[in-house]
Amino acid sequence: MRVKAKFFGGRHRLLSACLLAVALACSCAGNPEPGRGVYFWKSTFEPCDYELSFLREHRVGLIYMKFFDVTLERDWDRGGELAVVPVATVRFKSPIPEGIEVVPAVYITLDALRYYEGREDELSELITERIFAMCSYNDVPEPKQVQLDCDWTEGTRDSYFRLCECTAQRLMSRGASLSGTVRLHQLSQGRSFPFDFPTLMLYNTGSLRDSSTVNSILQASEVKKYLRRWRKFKYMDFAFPAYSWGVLLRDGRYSGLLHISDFSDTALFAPSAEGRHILLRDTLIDGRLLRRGDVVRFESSDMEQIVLCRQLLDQRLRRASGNNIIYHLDSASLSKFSYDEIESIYSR
Amino acid sequence: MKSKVSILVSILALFAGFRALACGPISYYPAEYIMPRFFSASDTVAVKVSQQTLAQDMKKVLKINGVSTDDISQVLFSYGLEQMASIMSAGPSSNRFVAWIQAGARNDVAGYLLLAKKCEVNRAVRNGKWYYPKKNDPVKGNLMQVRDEAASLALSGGALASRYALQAIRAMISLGEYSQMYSFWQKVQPLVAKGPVRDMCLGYTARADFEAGRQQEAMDYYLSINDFSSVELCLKMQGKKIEDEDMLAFIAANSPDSPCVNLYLQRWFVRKSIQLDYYMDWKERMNAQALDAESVAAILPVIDAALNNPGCRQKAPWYYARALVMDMSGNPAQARASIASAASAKGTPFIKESVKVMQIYLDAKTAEIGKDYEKKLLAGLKWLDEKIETDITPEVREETAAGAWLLNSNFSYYYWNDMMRRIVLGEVCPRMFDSGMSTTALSLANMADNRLLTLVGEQFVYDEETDAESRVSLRKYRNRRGEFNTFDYCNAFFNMADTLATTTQLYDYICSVSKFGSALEKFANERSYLDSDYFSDILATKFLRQGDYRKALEVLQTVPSSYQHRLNTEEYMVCDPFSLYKQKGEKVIDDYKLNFAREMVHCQDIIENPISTPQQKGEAMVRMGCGLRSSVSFAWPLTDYSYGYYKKYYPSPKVAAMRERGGKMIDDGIAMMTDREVKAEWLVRTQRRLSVVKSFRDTRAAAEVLLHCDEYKDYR
Repeated sequence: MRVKAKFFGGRHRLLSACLLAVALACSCAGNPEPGRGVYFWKSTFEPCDYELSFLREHRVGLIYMKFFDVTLERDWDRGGELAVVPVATVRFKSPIPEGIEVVPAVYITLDALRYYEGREDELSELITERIFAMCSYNDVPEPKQVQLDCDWTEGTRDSYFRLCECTAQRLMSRGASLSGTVRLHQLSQGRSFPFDFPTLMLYNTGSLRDSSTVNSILQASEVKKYLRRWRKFKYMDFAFPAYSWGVLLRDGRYSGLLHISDFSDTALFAPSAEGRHILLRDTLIDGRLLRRGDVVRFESSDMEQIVLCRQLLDQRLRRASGNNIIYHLDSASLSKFSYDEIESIYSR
Repeated sequence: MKSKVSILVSILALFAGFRALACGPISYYPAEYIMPRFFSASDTVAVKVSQQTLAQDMKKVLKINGVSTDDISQVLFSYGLEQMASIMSAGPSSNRFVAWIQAGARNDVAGYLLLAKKCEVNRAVRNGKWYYPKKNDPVKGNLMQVRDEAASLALSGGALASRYALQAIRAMISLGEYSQMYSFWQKVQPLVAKGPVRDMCLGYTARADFEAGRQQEAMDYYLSINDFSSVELCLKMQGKKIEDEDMLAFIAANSPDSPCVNLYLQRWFVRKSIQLDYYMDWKERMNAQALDAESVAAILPVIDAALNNPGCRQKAPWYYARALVMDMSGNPAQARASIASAASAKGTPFIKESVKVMQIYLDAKTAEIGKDYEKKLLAGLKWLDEKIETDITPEVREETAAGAWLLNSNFSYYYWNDMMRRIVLGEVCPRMFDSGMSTTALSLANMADNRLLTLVGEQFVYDEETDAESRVSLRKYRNRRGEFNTFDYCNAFFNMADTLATTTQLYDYICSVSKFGSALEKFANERSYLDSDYFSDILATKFLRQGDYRKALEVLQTVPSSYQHRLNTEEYMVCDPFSLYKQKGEKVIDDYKLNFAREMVHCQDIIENPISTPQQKGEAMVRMGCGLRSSVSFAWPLTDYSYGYYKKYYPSPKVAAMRERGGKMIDDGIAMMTDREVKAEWLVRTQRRLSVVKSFRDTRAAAEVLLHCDEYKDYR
């Protein structure tokens, strides 16, 4: 009896695998080419020639632009009482290039979310109205999609989801839909998300502050931990990193981020293992005084890791459709990638 | 000398030891109350024109008679847009200003009021944190309309020209039109009369200068009106890193009489006063409170520069600051010299009061203790006491009635009482104890702890059954059974009486309360919590702790049984103190201390009686040994008012010695017994079964042991 069950069980699994392979092959063949997007996370929209040609050459159709952050601050105009306010609002110094659709993105801090708990509808109104006012004033076409970004946790999930629901309702009445960022750790916390277009953020996967981290920007091995189960989504955007930075370690401890990628000065840096560079003398970088003996861990978006992640995603996370988005539109970061490398990120 | 030092050390240790006493840790020591007082929380240095001033100015400009400024204020600042729009069309109004406009058919005034309100409403929207303009934004459009209309009417002159100019300027500021505003002001300023409205226009002009990058012009203007907060902002916008010392140096050089002096000095001293770490010990904290050489070097030249500035007329705050610096850097003699200068220099009554407090404090710190000083101190305390009584606010009453936590933790929360406590508990009491004036020290400590409580006279209590909070009188609070008394067993007086003072000193104090003491003691006693049962219980407990049971009994006989209900420790009075090991009963034992003392005296009498038999003596010794040992362990409420983990497992040498003495007494008592049965029984109880089976085999106790213990089967 046991032998029979085993036999049938084995035959069943074989059959299922075959069917799945066929189904996936069919579904892939039927999927449209992913849309191409790029994040814009700077405070002034004034793309340089390189950035404009990047958009053209790679046929980028979407810019996910951070419009403002929502945070909790003391309002000194009102005697120092706490208030949720928009900060770091983007300034438009250039028009939006033709043929580009802007997806306004708003980052919401957890403090702001907690402050408005139970009054999420009020917050959604403030956010929506401000986004549409900004579009109107700056000649940005009315958005078809708005993205909310929040590092929500188990404890703030309900409030954030309510905020998303209220915002989605408001957007619907204006003919727009809601998109939302999903971090890898959030993937397991929600069976479904209260927005039509989830965007899986495939960056900042490692621990920046951990001195033993090799590359906190993207490590396929880290991503794998979150993609243990096979999951399927009708729609999912993937956001890949295309940036680099230097992580300053002092006495083995995280001490800040530096915008540095050139370590060729051998009088200043001595290379060490795993992309680390040891300062040979005191110097000033990014307005910070770096001391002799400090270590800078150079981290960049490694193409090999991106490819590995793509393979992982193909294996574990199926999507019927979605965009591929690159973080972020910055000539200094993007110029480190070849045309083909960028194309390989954008391609299916 | 040695004894003086040791007394001082023990006094310091006493204050340091507060944290280990009955009500848990304290947060500050009395010497850590914040003394610098240049500026009151209700003061403002903001250069703002008050609503009342504007209403008065309007009354003057429009030559209005028979209308109060309150009525004008109501219209100017409380009316909404709709009310403003319907002033002329609405029926008769009870507001006399409206009636005046209607009666005189003053469409010009009604028109101005409507425009000003439109300006205010739209500016409020535009200045909102969430505001972002839209294309064809109505708010922007409205403000542009206000700007054009107001600018045109301002330039046409008339009684309301200044006011129209102000509205035009406000609209321009909101629209971010700084250059236009600057040009407009150049044109309109001859038409704007001197007065509060012109001052406001100048403030906005400086803002426009600032926004347009003419920061020096802006700063000059802010300096001219002593608005140093704005000057600080200008300097910071110029990329200068500004510390409070820098601002004070700037003020000392430019405007040493400015009210801002007080703001900045207050901020500087408070910042220097609260760099305390809770986990530091007493000595470390006192050192941390002192100003370091770097801070002194930074502030002292600034203070001296202000004092040497020929333009400085108000020197009292600067001398006061100098005295504080000197005191905080360990130079009380120089502090005294500076505070004497502050007292004779020109200054506001507010600063003069602060100076007076510091004089009392410095006297307490440095004057020779004696009759002359007592007189001086009495005068100072009388003045402080008056301030405590007259300046008390509802907030202070509420905080105090909510429990004595703030008070016992020495938090700075009511300046006059804080200072009285700092002077008395932080300076006078330790010095008086050192000089042998323990009675006066205890009187003053009692006053320092109870003056404010008595003045407030009530406490909040929580009723578990009804889940409600209510207020009860202080007397009722102290008498409530089951109420945890949050002040009488952990305040400074209690700690002094219970820990520092000897029984003789405490007894002398108790006796002095009912007698005619010195004028200072009388003054203190009138403001103290005088309760003979409370005092007697502390004294008797001290006697029990010392093992002086006869005196304890004598005192406890004067305390009514019901007093036990008022003790926080009553709920722990459940163990029989004469049992060999802890036996917790279910009920609180009445007259716990009294019965214990009585029984101990009884045992003592038997032991000391020459006609007692050895058996009687032995039994009495065992019982007394048990009592002695338990009174410093499981029956601790007999000798203490609190008992935590630390006291239990890390007893003081005295307590350890008492426990040992108790144990020895038990052993000696058993050894003395002649009745073999009783003796064997006690040996079994004290775990000496082997001795019983070896040497007392004929007893019932031995039979019992042999019956039940296999370990001793060889002896069967």
